[in-house]
Amino acid sequence: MLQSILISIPHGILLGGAYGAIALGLSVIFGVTRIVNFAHGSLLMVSVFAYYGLYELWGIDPYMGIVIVAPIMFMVGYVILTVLIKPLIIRERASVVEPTSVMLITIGLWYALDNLFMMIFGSNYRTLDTKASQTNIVLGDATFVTQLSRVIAFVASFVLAGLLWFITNKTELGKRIRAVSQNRDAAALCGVDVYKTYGIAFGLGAAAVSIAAACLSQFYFVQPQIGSTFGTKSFLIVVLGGLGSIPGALLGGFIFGLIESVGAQFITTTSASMLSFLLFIIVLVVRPKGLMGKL
Amino acid sequence: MKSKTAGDFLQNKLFLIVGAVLLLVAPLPFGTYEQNILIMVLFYAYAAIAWNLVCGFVGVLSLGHAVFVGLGAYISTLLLIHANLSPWIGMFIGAAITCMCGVLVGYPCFRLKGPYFALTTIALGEIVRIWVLNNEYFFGIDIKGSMGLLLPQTGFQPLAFEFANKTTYYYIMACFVVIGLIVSYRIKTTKLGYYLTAIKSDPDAAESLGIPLARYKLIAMAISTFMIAFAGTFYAQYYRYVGPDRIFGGDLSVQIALIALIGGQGTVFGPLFGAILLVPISELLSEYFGGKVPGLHLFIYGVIMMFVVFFMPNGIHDYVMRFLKWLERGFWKMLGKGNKKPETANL
Repeated sequence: MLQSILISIPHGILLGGAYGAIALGLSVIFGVTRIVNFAHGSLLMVSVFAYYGLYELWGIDPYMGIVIVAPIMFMVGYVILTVLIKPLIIRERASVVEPTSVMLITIGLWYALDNLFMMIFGSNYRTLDTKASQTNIVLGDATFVTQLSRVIAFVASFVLAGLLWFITNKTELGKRIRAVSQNRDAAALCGVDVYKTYGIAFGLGAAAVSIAAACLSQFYFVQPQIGSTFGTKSFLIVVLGGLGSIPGALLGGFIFGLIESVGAQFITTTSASMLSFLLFIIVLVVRPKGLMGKL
Repeated sequence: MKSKTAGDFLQNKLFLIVGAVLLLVAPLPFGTYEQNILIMVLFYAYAAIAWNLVCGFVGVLSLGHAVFVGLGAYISTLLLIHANLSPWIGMFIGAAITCMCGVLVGYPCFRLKGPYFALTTIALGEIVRIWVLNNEYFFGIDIKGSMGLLLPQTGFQPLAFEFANKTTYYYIMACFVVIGLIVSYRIKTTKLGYYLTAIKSDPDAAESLGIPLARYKLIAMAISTFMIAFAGTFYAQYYRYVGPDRIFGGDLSVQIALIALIGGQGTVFGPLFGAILLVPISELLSEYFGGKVPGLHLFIYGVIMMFVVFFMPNGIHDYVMRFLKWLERGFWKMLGKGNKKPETANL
C-alpha cells in the first residue's frame, strides 16, 4: 500500500506538469485581460482534434504539428477577442455595471464549440497512437512505468512556462502586455493599442493551450468532452496557483496532479476530483489571490 | 372625470388576459407528446423565474442552481419512499431545507466577484453531484447513489402527487408559473425590488446609502432556492425517477441560466419568454435528431446565447414586449379606440 502511494507521487507530478501546461494559457489570458475565458477548455479540445486530424490524415506527428496548429490557434484567439469580446468591452465601458456579458459570451462559445464537435465527431473515444505514446519509460524493474508522452508533457510545461515568461518579461511586446494588465487606461495614455495587445495576449493563451494540447493528445483520449473537463480543471488550477502568475499555474497544476493521483489510491478518481473542487472553493473563500497570485 | 369602462380596464392588461386564457386552454387540443413539451416549457420557465430572482435581480451569475432543484427533488422523494410522506407536504419540507442550504451557500460566496462566484457555483454543483453519485448512504438514509431514486408507479394517487393524466401535471405546473410570476412582480415593484436593483447596478453606491448588501442578497437567494425546490419535487413526481447526473448536473444548471438570460434577466416575464422560445427547440430537436446528432440542442443554445449577448444584452424580453404592445395597439385600433396609448408597466 505504501509503495503504491509512493509510486503515485511521481505519477501525480508528471500529470501535474501537463495540467499546468494547459492552465498556463488561461493564466496569461486572465492575468492580462481580466477576462474569464470559459471557452479555454474548448480551445484545448479543438487543438487536440486538429492534431488528431493532422496525424490521421497526413501522418504528421503532433509535435511537428505544433508548427501548423499553434499559429492558427493564435489567430483564432486573436479573432475571438477582436470580433466577439472587444465590442462587448467597449459597450460595457460606458456603464458602471460589471462586465458580465464577456463572461456570458465565452460561456455561449464554450457550449457552442463543445457541442459542435460533439455533433460532428460523436462522444466516442479516439486515441492517437504515436511513437511517443507507445514508448514506455521504465524505471527500476517495472516499479515505475509511464509513457514517454507524459514525460515530454512534463518537460514541455516548463519550456512553455519559460517561453511565456520570456515573452512577457523580456520583450517589447511583453512590456505592453504588462502595462495593459496593470492599468488599461494608463497604458492607453502611453500610446499602447490596448485592444490589439489584448488580442495578442488572447492569441498567446490560445497558442499556449494548443501546444499543451499536442502533448495531451498523446496520452489522453480525443473526445469532445475533454473540453469541459480540462476547462473546469484549468480554472481550479489557475485560481489555486494565483491568477496571472505563470509559476503559480505550474504549482497549481502539480498540486492538482498530486491530489488526483495520490487521492485515487484511497478513493475513486471521481471522488478525488470532488476534493479538487472543495480545495478550489476553500482557496477562493479564504485566500482569493491564490498561492502565488499578485492580483 | 372619465368613467371607467371595461375597455379602460382591459387597456393595459390585454396581453395578460390573452396569455392567461392561452395558458388555460393550451393542453386541451394536443396529444400527450405535445403536452409533454408544454409541461417542460412551464417547468423550465418556473425554474428560470426562480433563478432570475437571485441572479437577474441581484446580478450574480449562478451556474449551479440545479443543486437546489436536486435537493428539493431528493428530499421530497426520500420522504415519500422511506417515510411514506405525501409529496404535497414533503415538497414544503424540501423547500425549507433547500432554502437554508441556499442561504448557507450564499453567505460566504456572495462576496466573490462575478466570474469567481460563477466558478464557485459550478464547483459546488459538481461536488454535490459527484458525492451523490458515489455514495449510497447519507447518515444512514439510503439514497441509492448512482442508481437514482425510483418512485412507485401506482397510476393515480392524487394525495401522493401522482396523476395518470398529463393534463393535471400541466395545470399544476401552470399554477407554479403563475405564482412565480406574481412573486417576481411583487418583489420587483416593492422596496425589496428597488434595493436589489440598486445592489445590482452599483453595489458601492447602494452600500453608501445604507443598504445592507448581504442581507438583501441572502433574502433573494432564500426566496429563489425555496421556489426552485418545488420544481425539483415536480420533476420527480412527473418523471417518477431522479438521477444525480441529470438533477444535479451542470447541464441543467446552465440550461436554466441560459433560458433566463436569453429571455431577459431581471424582468418578470423574461424567463417565461426564454422558455417558450428555447424549450420547444430542444424537445423538437431531440425528437427529430434523437441520438443521431448528439448535443445539437445545446449547440443551438450556445449560438443563440452568443447572438443574444452580442445583439440583445437584455434578452428577447424587450422585443417581445414591444411586439405585444404593437399587437395590442393594432387590436384597439381595429375596435375603433385607437387613440389611447397603452402604458404597460415596464415588467
